[in-house]
Amino acid sequence: MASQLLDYIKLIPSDRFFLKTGEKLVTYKQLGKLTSDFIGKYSYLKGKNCALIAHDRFSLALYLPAVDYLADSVFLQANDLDDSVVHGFYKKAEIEFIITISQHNQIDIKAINSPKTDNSANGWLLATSGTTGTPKLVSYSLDKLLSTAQKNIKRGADYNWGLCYDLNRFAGLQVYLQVVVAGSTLTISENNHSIHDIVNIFSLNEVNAISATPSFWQKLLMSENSSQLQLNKITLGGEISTQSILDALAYHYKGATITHIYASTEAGVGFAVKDKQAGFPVNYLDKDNSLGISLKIEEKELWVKSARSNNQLLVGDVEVDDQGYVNTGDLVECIKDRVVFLGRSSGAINIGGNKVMPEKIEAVLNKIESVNYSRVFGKPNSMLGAIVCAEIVLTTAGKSLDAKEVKKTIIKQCKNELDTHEVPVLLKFVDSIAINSTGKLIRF
Amino acid sequence: MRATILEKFNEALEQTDKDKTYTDIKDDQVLLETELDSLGFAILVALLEEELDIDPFQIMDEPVYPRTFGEFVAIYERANG
Repeated sequence: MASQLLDYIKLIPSDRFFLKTGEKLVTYKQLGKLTSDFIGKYSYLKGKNCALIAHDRFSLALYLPAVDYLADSVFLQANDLDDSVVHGFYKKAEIEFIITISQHNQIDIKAINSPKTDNSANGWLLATSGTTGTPKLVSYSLDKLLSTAQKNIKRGADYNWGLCYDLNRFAGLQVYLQVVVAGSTLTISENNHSIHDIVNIFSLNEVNAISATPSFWQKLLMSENSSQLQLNKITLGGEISTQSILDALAYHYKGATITHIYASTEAGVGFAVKDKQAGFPVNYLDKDNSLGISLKIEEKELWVKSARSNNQLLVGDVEVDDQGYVNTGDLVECIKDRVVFLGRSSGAINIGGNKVMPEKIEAVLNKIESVNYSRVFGKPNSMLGAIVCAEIVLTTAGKSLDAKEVKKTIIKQCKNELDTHEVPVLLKFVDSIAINSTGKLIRF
Repeated sequence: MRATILEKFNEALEQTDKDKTYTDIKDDQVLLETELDSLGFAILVALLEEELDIDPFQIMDEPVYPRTFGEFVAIYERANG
């Protein structure tokens, strides 16, 4: 029998605080009551496949244990997915009911027609952010999602986690689950809050643990009220953590444990690094690394193998070798006793968590009249991980024009066709661009 | 230095499609309260690196991020010193 959130909640002292926001407080006792009311009222959802959509993070946090208890599988549907994508997911996951929680906890339940077969996706379903293309539907079992969580309820009393992400995204869900299984407190910021508001809500509610991306941390450190926070536990993930952000956090929050997480969506696994140094120790590549996963480097790419890595990826492919290692697509290099990350082998650029494919930008550039061809690449940036740069070979006609004017035209065209973070920041006009023997651009 | 930063600040605003242009920015101006967002700051640092050949945030003697415009300018002045 698979475990459920309610099994964990029942073990938690009921007077502990579960949720805090700017105005509201919810104890575990209140959560228990609300959950049993929901289960009683909507018992017909038992064993069904449900999509769950919430107006805000707070209401999703409240109703998730109840829906998890009743439903066979729960699709945590983000609000910003395209209708066509959503319908594809409903079909794939054989969703039978759509539960919508709107403002002021108004619950609306709608049945849809997709009878179950035996091979439907089950468990917890999340859509990947899809910044590299169409979002994928990924299913997890609760046990797998919880495999790395600290489940010590006694120690859990010491932590008040600040939620910086939506709960229907992997980053937010992980924090939520950590809170629930250890009986900690979750302080919720909503996604329309400014960084200043977030820091205020967190400090007023005495948040002492935060998990966020390096870009988010850096923004937080630039906020003048960030010194009000008293943090014991700092986690970084989702992007590569640079030495500068690790140093800055260690400097501002002395005594806090700082952990940067390496996670591979492809392999569905990750590991933690706690020594406040960028990259990871080279001895993690040893067989007996006690991480519960094996790592190896092949052709500069990092491959992982894990007992935990059998998440069912419903859409999309991963590269697996005959020993069961999964290609993470991350380029790495050993420098002395450290393995450091260089970027993605696909050339994808991670701009503050948004993945950008160079080919897409090159296609826009190459259409421009004065452009002969181009190469787009990420340049490491201490503020946002990377920014988009482009080398451009101009046509003969393009070369005869004023360089500044040509740049302006190119940027304008890019702005028309691309998202702001995809528009090249630095343009360089060059005479030639390296191309390999198969006629492809050399990406490095 | 201040003039260069101001010029690039405006350029970063333009690149991120903000209508605002500053003729001057006071030292105590809180950076997160300007029109420049995270991407804008990344662009600003990249433009300044192209211009000055330094990125003071890559290696910081004192790992403190600037909160005001004055602090931002001071970091570049120190790094350029």
